[in-house]
Amino acid sequence: MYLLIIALPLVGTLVTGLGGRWIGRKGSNLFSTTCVVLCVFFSSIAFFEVGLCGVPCYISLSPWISSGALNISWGFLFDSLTTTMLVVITSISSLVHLYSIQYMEHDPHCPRFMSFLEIFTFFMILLVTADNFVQMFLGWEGVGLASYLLINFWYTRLCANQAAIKALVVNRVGDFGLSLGIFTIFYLFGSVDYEIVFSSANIYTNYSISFCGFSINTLTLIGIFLLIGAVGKSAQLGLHTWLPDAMEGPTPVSALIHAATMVTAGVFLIVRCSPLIDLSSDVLLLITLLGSSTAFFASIVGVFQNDIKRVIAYSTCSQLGYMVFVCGLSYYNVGMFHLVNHAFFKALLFLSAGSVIHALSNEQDMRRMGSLANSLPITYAAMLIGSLSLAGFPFLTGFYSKDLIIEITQISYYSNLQISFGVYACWLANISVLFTSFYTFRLIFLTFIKNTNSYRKHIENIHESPPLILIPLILLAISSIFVGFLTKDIFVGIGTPFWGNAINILPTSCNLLEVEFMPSLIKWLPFVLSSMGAILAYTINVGVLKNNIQFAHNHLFRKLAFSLSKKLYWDKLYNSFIVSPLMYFGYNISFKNLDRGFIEFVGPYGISRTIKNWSTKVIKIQTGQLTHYTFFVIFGLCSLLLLVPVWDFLQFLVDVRLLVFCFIALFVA
Amino acid sequence: MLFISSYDFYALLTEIYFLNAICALLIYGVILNTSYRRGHPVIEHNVSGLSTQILIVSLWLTVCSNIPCLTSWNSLLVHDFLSFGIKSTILAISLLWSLIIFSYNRLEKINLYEYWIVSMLAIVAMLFVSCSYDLLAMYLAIEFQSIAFYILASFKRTSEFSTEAGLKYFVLGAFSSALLLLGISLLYGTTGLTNFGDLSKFFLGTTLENASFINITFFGVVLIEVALFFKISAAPFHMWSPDVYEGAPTNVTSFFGILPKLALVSLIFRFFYFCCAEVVLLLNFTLIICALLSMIIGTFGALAQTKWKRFIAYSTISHVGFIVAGFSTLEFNGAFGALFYILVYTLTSLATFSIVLSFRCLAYPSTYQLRYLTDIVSLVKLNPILAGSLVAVLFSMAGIPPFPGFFAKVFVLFSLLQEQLIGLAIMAIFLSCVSCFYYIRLIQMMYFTHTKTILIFYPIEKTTSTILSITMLLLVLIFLKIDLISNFVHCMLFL
Repeated sequence: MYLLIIALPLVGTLVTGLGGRWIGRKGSNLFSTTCVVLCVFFSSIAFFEVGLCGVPCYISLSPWISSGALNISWGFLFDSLTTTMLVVITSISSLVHLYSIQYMEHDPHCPRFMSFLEIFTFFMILLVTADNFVQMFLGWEGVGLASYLLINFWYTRLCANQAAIKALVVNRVGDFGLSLGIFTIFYLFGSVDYEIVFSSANIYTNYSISFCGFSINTLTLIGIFLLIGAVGKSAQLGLHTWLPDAMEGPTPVSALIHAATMVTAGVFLIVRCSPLIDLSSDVLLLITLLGSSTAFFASIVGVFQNDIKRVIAYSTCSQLGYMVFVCGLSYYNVGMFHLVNHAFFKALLFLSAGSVIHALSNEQDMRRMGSLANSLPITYAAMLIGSLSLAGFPFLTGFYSKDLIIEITQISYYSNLQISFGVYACWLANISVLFTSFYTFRLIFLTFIKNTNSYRKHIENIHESPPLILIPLILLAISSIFVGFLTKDIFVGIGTPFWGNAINILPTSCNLLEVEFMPSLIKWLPFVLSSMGAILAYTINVGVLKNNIQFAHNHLFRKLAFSLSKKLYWDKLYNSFIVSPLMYFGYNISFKNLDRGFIEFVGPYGISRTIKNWSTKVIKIQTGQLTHYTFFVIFGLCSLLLLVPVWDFLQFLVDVRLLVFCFIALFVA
Repeated sequence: MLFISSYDFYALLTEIYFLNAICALLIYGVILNTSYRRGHPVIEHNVSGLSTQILIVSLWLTVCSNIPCLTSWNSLLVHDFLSFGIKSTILAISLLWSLIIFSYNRLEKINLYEYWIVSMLAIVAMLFVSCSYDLLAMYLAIEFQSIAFYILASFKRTSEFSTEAGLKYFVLGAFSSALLLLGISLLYGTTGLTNFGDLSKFFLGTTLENASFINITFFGVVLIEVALFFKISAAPFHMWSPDVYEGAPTNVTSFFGILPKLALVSLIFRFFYFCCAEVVLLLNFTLIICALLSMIIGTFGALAQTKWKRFIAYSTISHVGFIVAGFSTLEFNGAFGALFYILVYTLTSLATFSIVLSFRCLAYPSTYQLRYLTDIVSLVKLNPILAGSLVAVLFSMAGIPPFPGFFAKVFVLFSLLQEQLIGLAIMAIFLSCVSCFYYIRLIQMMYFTHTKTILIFYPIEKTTSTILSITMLLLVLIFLKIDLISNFVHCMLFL
């Protein structure tokens, strides 16, 4: 059964991908969806057995690479962390499959799409079930590939190509970091198996690597490398630029890959490596700073985006920031809790947005929408639930994790915890709450409430989406309301045995109880902030300030808004300081001058030319004249004889290497 | 004081049988061919069959003899594992060679039975060369062999090229013989010895400082070395070989290409490693220079050729460069590499010539031999099996791994590296890269170049194709049991 969870998506992708031409659109839809739904079923059983009954499962299949000290085997590890991820992945994936059947109805390449979704699911499952770093890396690269394929699904669109390549290249930076991390792990531990690495990590706390005169703690180095990997995949500040662009892909893809599952792989990595990361406080500090900055940055940028999907993308980025920094505070269980909850409400948001886009004939700009609440009531309800959950409205799913995270940051300045950098996270997290609420309600108002700006043609054809789109929405809406409440005690309840050995929590961080004893004023703070955000969004978009836009003419405000809508120029910075110098170097220097120039001239072209010259010269010696031949024999004899007395002297002068060098020099000349 | 025992006759049984048989064959030919009553019958075919029979019998005689390790005929000749191995190889290869010549001679209408007589004499001369143990015996055997070669080279009396080749070969050969004689007399003059064994004992412990005669000895040894290198066409004494290969009729070229080097290489081994080992240790730079020059000239020369026979001549020169490089280490590893190389080279050139001799085109009503390299364009469409075998041969020559040519080059290069001749090794590798290019260019021509005019190939005769398939099997499959060759060489070196 455990292996079936892994095998079913593989079978699904192979059958739909290779046999799609024969089984057709309906066949492939049916087949792939069945595979994933079965997967959900098995994953739930696995979750029950492993997570609730506390029986971790460990399957070692066969050796994979065995070379000297490096022994890697195909092994699968099912602990509570894995099964939690499995349930999230398979359930979201099956809902997205269901949704795509309708959404991609008119696309001629439906089997290919289904196959790509399946292959993504397969690799994601491989990623979370691996029991060693290399197999995890295989899944990691696999989801990168699937992401590329899916973003580029409509491959005739230039934007899609650019976005896909950007996603792949930016991810490559992170992948490189991760692979360096794996190399360092192998260097330090001599193994890449989780159990060996994690159980022996404590022994290596004092080891350090010298590099270019700097000495750095090896575990810190590993942590930094792993963090770079996580930053790439989870779109943290610095490598986040690919995520908004990835919205060029079909909307179900955005829901599955760029909201619920793949982007959380980085968080998963951090949680999985908690025994390693916990040992280095520097890495924890870095993670916290990076995560909270991302949360803040993405939320303020999200405020001024106009593309409906990009707003949600930035909100994803921001929520990932929350997950990451709470891991940095060593509350990995809270991070995972938020990951699960976020997967449900973010998938809901994306799928609802997809429903809107579907209804409006692929219109994505929020400024051209409005008043859709009347025409799309169920979508509106779903979107509203998603948004409230995201904003952390009390007793919805998002509330339980997000509120908890913010409260954790609040208690982090207690001096005995020694995580003073939590204060930074606290400030940024609270400000982000305001902006999150603002942009998510702005989205609601612009799309559903405000007077419409849409084209008449679109409005005339508008209709609520068909049932296959609505069923996933309704299911996700229900989960977005209840999942948090239902799983709170399992994941982050006081003294829950759920996680077992799957994650490692610093002893200093076992103080979730502290949260309950905070001043109630502070406990209210996130709610107050998010309400403020919602009210602000209301006032500006539909309320008093709707027609009173004097403040928008303020010079400073305009500048700020402009730079925020330009995403604070990250792309511009990367393009002009990294991409274009590299492109210049790549084309003009390494390609034109070195590869096609110097190497070509000295290498293939030069050598072939000189060899040809030389061979004609050698041939010219062969004159056909007997006298010349005799001369050469005598000449050879005499030179050999003449060399006899002077050779002892020459021997020291004529180094063989020198001779070879002269010969080659002659060639090049 | 002539002291001859029955062992002397036993050791020389093959040669005695061979010479007698040739004389009988000659008498038979003279009587029958000049017989007016029988109408001057053409007995070339007849004589060729009989020659093959002689070869078979003498091969049998050689292989079945006990291997006596002795010097016979007043220490003029030696019989040891080396001479035994070389003799049996020469006889076996000549047997195969005679079979590929049959059809060529018939199609080219070479009706002179003397061709076989002279070739047989050349073969017996090679047998003598391979077992000579005295400077005089060496000189006589080499002269015997060379005279047969001069005749063979100018065998096609009506052809300008053939006579020119014969004349050039004769003049230059006489010149080198003079050098050889001068070298021998200098050695004799300084030491009073001509026997290899005596000389080797005499030279024991020679260094530059402790010997007053050393300069003259150097002179003599270098002269002999030059003469021997001339015979195996090592540069810079290679000048005759492209012209002679080109001018001589193809059946003779194949003879020159396949056989004589085997005997001469064994002689060179004996001379350098046994007779003058201690002196040559001080002279190894001459070997290195010759090896380097041979490789360079052979490689670059072959690159610019357009005709098959010249191409083969130059590629032979570069192979000879490798063999000399093996000897230049003056260690047994190197000698092993060189002997291995010459065996593989002989096998490969047998295959080459059996292929080149079967490049016959039909221009009704007659057939003609192809001469240019470019004639094999898109050979794969006309005769895929022939093309495939040529690929195997060329890969072996170029030293592509599973083929024996690779092992030969590897052994030589390893011995060079062991003896710290790194520069020579690097040059050898570089030049064999270049040679790879022109071998593979031929393959490209056969397989990937398209032509509009398609030649009609004359079907290959049964005997030739048998030899071709035997050599192909050896070339392609020997890598499964490469120690067949290497053990053989080891046995030969167990002096």
